[in-house]
Amino acid sequence: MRTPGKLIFIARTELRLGWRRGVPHGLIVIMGMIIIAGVLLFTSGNLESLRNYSQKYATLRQDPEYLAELSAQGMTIEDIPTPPELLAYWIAIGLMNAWQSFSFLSLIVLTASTSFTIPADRLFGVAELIRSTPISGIIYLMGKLLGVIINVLIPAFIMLLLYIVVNIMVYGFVDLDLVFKLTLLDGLPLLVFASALGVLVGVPLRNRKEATIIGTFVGLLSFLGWLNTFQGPQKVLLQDIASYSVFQPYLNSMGQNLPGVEVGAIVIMYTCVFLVLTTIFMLARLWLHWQENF
Amino acid sequence: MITVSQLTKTYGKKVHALRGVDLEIGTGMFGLVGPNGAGKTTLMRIMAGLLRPTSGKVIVLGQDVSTPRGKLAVKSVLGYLPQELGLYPDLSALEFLEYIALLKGMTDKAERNRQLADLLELVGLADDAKRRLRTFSGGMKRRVGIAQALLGKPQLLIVDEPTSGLDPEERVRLRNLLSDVAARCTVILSTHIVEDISQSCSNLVVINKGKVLFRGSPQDLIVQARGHVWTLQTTAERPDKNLAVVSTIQVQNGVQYRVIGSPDQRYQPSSVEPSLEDGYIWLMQQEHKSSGSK
Repeated sequence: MRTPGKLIFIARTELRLGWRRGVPHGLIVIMGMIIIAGVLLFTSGNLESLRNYSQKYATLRQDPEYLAELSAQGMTIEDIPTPPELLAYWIAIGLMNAWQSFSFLSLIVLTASTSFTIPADRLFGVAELIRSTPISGIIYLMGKLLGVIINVLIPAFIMLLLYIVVNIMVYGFVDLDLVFKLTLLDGLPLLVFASALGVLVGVPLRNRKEATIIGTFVGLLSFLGWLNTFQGPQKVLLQDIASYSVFQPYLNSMGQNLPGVEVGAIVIMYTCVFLVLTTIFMLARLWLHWQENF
Repeated sequence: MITVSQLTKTYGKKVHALRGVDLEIGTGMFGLVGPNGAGKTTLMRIMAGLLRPTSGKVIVLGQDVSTPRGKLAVKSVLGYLPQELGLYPDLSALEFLEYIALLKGMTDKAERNRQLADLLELVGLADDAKRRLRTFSGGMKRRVGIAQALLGKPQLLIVDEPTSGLDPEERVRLRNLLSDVAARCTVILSTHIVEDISQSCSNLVVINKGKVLFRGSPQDLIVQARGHVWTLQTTAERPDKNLAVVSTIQVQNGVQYRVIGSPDQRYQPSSVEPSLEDGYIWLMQQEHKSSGSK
């Protein structure tokens, strides 16, 4: 069989195993629920204010006295946020707050939970059987990574759909631009990084306890490292530059004056992340080669 | 077919698992016998390309297993059943076997399905093929292990303690199965149960403390013990401590012993034809004496 075929089959089996064991997709569902609940809790309190604002906005935009007042300040009614803009802002702020816990949780929890992937093969005694087949260590490792990443992304995608549905049901509105930008610029890379990191740091570990402890520790380190290295220009927001770049226009739309982020900075950030992962991958591969002749 | 020359394996600095082993193994069934910790598993793992030797060479089917290319070539014709067999508890027997079949490079789906069905039938698991492996008994798991080793019609089959954990009926069935397989390939059977060897192998090696003590046919080993195996009867006392007692049977007027060595004539011992087990024990006794006198 050609190499890609073997890789896909290892990934498929890992996906099947992960699905039946309930890890890590169960964790993704929990984290997704936290985000959705966070956004709902944050915004639900503002719904009444929004209704009042909608009525007031409709009245004020017809009010010559108010328009004159605005004009005196060098503004027009177009400078005042419309009710949908305000709703989009509140949802964005809700998501921004929930996103902080999501980033924190995914880097720690996912790294810890996926770090048992390779030790599990050893613990179940399957590793030696796999090593007796004509596959290389690099294909094995890549297949495992692919399986775990897909295992994480499928429930994450389902939770994303659920988030969209909940938004539509509660607010009759969803800001797809915000959702997709945040998913592609931050969520997806973060999930891939955390799950891949967990699998790779787990390579030399022997049992679940070791994997959980080391995985949690590495996850915590990666969270602190990620935030310190890639934090956006406005340090009040505990966001990396990618998510900062998504939320910054929403904050500025309400009168804040936060600096923007160059696209190049995000590219550099992910180049660094990729290099870190590649280095850890090479170390894991070398470890398998030297310690297990694989 | 397999040439092992001056093979040594040292774990750390102190544990010498193999000490200059030389072997020639042809086609058919080859037995590897020795006490626990003799170095059998280490030798088999090196032959399977799973472990790197400290020094020496292993050539399998003209391929040097210490080179990456040779290792891959050997693994592509290898069937391997490790001593500590592990299976994924969350997969069914069929899913697990399919996984191994694909890792072995069995791309032709029709051929793969045919072999899977044949092997499941052969090991008596056709009716349980879709059950999760976590529900299997120890013997059933062992049979799954045997089926996976036979996948892909290997030219070299390495089985490490295959009969451990099997009931007598299953042991006999497995021995017959391995004998059938040995008609078309090389089977290396490692065991500490001498009976398994006597019933199936035409050639064997006895190994102890990493050294080859004997190589030849089972008959040659039996001949070595000829004149040293006795039965004797005592009223109650055990015979001389220097004698190895092979069996003890309570009879009407005392106890009948089958012993190996040179018994005291007052017991009126009568010489008996040795079995392979007697030959093995005689050999080990001589080895203990010679290592004790050093």
